[in-house]
Amino acid sequence: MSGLRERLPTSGRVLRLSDLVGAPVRSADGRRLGRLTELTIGFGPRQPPLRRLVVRPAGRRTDQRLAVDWSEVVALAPGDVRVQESEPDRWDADPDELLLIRDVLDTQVLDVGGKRLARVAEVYLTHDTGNVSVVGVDIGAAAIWRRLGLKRLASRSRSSVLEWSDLHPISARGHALALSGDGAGVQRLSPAELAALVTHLPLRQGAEVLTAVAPETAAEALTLTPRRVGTEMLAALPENAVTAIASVLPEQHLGRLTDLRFLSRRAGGKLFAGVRRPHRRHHGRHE
Amino acid sequence: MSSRALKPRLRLAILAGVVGPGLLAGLSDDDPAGITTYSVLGAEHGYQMLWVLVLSVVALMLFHDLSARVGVITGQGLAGLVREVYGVRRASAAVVALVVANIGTTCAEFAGIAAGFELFGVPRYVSVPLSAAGVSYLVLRGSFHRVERALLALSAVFVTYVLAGVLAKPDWGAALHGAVVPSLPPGRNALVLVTATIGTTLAPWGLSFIQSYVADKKLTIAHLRDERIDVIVGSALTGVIGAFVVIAAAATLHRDGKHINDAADAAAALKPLAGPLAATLFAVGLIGAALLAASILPLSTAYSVSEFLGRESALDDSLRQAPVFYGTYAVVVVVGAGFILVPGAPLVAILVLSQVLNAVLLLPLLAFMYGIARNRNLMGEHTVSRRGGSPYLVTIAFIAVCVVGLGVLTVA
Repeated sequence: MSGLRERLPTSGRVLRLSDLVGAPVRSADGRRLGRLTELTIGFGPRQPPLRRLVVRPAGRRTDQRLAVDWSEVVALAPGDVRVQESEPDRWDADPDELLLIRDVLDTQVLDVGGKRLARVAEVYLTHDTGNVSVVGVDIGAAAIWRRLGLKRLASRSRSSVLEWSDLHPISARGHALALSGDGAGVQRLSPAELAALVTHLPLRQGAEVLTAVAPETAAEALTLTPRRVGTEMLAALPENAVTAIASVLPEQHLGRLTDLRFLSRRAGGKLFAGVRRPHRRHHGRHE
Repeated sequence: MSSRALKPRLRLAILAGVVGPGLLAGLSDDDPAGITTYSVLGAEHGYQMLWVLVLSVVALMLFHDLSARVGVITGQGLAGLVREVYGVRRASAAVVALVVANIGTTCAEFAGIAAGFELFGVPRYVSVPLSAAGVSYLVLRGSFHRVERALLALSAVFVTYVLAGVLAKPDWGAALHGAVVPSLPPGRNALVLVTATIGTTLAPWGLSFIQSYVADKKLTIAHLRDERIDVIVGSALTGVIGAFVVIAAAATLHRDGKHINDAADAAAALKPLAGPLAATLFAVGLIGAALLAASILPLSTAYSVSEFLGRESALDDSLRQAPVFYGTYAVVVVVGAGFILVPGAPLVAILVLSQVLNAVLLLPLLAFMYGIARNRNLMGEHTVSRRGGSPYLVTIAFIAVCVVGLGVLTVA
């Protein structure tokens, strides 16, 4: 995987998530605990470290899962996962925990730099100085063919590697965690870049991104979106966000962005109410 | 700007802006394969099995509404969501089967175009390339809204089937009886027709198309109620048009004991029985239906392949922005149309294989859809409840019984 190391910001050993999932998990005394079914991270640092392994217990059909903290992991390699803990606790997801299989692999992400939607075909982890961290993802077809066992096709196809810090997850949990974190990728974007992004995002997620940035930035971004997208995005925002943005929007853009033909009656009414307040203040009227 | 601007007529304008996915997905089910199935249903059994069409339309409304709802809530198409929830292996199997089935069905559409034009004396070596070029130009050069408007305008041709049915002077009482009183003639052939009717009405490519299309159209939760109207109207129109095809065949072909093999046979056979106008209308309807489906099928395939590969694409994207999307569209059109022009091509085998694949694919696809709709991680507060999901389960079970029963009778 020397090619990958060149494209990812790491000097450590690179692991593929798909190679790890399903591996048997053994305790230090050699007892088989089950199979590795998930790996979890927090969402904060540029290369978030692994938090926990989630194990499907061996020997019985159950929906229950077991959790092993990263500090208990002795070895993590394809086909070889060993942990100190011989009686792991039951796993319950923490609210700020992201699951790499459920919330990242095969889910949609936004390539912040390339301004396009993509789907994660592989997650890359780096094993460096005793820690394992998520370093990037692959959104190219080569990773898909490789996971399907089509190695020849994979070798002829392109990988498209994205650093972890350059993507915004669209999955429900990933999106929520990404917007709540400091230094979220979207906050580094210019209004023009933000406009290009929210145009490609599903409406609800686009509106949430606009709520996560300053009203002035959101307002400028909205003026740069296609008209219908801008109107629908504005209408999808909470009323207080609409008011905040409308209060800094230039008059000529306010009219363009409030074309109610694009909206349902309810959405149109809500948008009208949110826009009217600062608009009246502007013209010296009192409610 | 005044709140008086929100007049009731705006409501209609907004509804008109939402309408499209349900109408197109529903009406494209009345393709040559569908028209053939409905014609045979009427020719072989008269009005007796109209109830099968009624049940199929109810199933269509249920699952098209579900597809549209999932597309609106998640903003994603079916192939992409199957990959996200069920993994890359199951998604790849579904997409491969869908592509093969869709190419086969596209062959059937161009075969319908060829047969329809040949009734008017236009050879297939003229009609098929021109039609292929026409549907390609429409999608490759048009914006989303222009494409949608053109396809909806094309849908108007279906009124010809209604007129053909009326001109055939049917027994309306017997038709109503057949629509509401279920009865199944004994034997394998009847079960074949039941399964074929359900399969052609609830086509896999239609299910994936509607979800991709509402996502491409960027419909929102606020549009859900209007989209439901769109789906119900589209599905109901499918049923009405299908019913008139059955009625036209029952009133003429069944009455005179005539057997047919395809929709062109039906159009030709109508002439001595119901007059040249009925036959002409039927043939015009066949051509229009085939052109609409020949536009929708490659589009559905392009959406599915793009979604699976993670290259989400939109009709408003340029060729440079979406090479996989437009490349897939072109391949399906070229291969589908090309087969028709090859002398001695095993057309019947291709059509049978594509219908078998559609039937095989339908059950797992419906199961995937049900699983996705019940996935709280994806659907949030719009997750289908266990109780709300029971109609879908009942429908899946009914289809499974038909498919399995047919399999058993075939092997036995």
